[in-house]
Amino acid sequence: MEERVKKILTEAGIEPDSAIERFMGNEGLYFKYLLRFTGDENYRRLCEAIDAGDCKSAFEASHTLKGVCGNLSLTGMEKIVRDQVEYLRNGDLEKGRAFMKDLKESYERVSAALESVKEYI
Amino acid sequence: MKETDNISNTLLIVDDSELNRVIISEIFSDSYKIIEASDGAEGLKAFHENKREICAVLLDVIMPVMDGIEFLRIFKEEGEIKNTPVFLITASESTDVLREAYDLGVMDVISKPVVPYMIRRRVDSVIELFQARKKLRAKVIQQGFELLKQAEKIIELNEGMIEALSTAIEFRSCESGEHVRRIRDITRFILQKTSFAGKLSDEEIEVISLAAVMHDVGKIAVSDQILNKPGKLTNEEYEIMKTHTVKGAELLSQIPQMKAHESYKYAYDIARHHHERWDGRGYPDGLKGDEIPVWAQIVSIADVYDALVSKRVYKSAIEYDKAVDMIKNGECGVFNPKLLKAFLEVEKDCRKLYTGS
Repeated sequence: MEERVKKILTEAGIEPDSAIERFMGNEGLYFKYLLRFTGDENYRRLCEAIDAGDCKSAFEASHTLKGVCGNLSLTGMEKIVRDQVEYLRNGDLEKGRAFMKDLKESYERVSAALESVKEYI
Repeated sequence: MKETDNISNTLLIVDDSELNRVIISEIFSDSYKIIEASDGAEGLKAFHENKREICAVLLDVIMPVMDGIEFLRIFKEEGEIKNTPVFLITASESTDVLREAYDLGVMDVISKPVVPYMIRRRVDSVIELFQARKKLRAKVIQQGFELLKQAEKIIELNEGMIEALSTAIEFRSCESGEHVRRIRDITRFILQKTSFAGKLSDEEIEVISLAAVMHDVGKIAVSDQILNKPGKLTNEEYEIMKTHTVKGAELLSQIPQMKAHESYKYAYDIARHHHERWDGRGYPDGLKGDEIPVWAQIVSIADVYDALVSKRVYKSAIEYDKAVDMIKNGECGVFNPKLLKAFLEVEKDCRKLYTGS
């Protein structure tokens, strides 16, 4: 992994080294799934469910999103979702909705980073 | 049972997230084959189709169609959980869920996102445990068989030794090993096929029959001249001959291993009392009627019959029917009427021992 790539990813709240360890050092495999993240349904589903006031669906989407962020070491996003998911689990949609601003920001940062490095990985 | 190498080296990963499956697969793929399923129902199906190869199941909790807990319930009901370890791979679950999972038999709960060296160690060591247990179980069963075979051999050896000893002693009076065997067989016939001795277990019958083999070991204390005299014995010689009963019993009591053997009490009685008579005029102790141990009575009549129908140094062989008549008429000693009756029941069978048919 080039130093430049690592810098861009790290600044977007990603920890690529820890993720690559999880992927048994298989960089190629990690990057393959990392790049798929931009198409990840769970973020979209979460947004829709929050908008529709559907706490149950929001919880499920948040929970799954947390798993994905954990696996890919999207640490910045993961921290936010981790707290959000507990409120949604307990049925508190409003408290869950409060996290969406920060989450959106973090998500867009990640997306931008991936866009800029995609031809190099 | 041949010990074959364990062929089950496949992991079943049950998780609805492809990403999770990929990561876990990557962690284990250098040592295991991987089968994947994306929900509990698929997981059960995949398990049944590949049961023999699967050595562990890695199971997610939240899945559509059938979740991990439901999978576990069915897995346990089917009795599979005892033979195949299941690991829960989960993000935070409530303690109730975890408790239920453990109650259903889950080996370990591993948190997501997984850390490779941790999950490897925890899964590997449990799989190794299960495989070692399987091998051990198989080995124990196999050793059980081998022990049994060895025990049988030892028993055979003991009996062989006893027979050898008795044959060697009888050999001095030109009796063959066959005489010894015939006494054993006749004794066994009477014990097995008649109700004379009451109800005995197969083992007891064998033990008493073996004891019968040693009835004349006391002859080792009697000189050749007397043992092999072709003519009638003098009174003095006869008295010495009679001592083979007492000497035989004494000899047996001097052998520690014999004394500890289960056949000892029968062997002692038989050696000492096989020349007693029902009317009390036998030797050495002049026991009368039911005082004479039942097993000694049996050997007594067997010995008489064998002596009659075989050629001996002092007489030739007598025809079967004549021998039977002689015994019935009390020409060769006085026997318990019940014993006589029992003997006559099996006498025809005894003839086969002489013709070899």
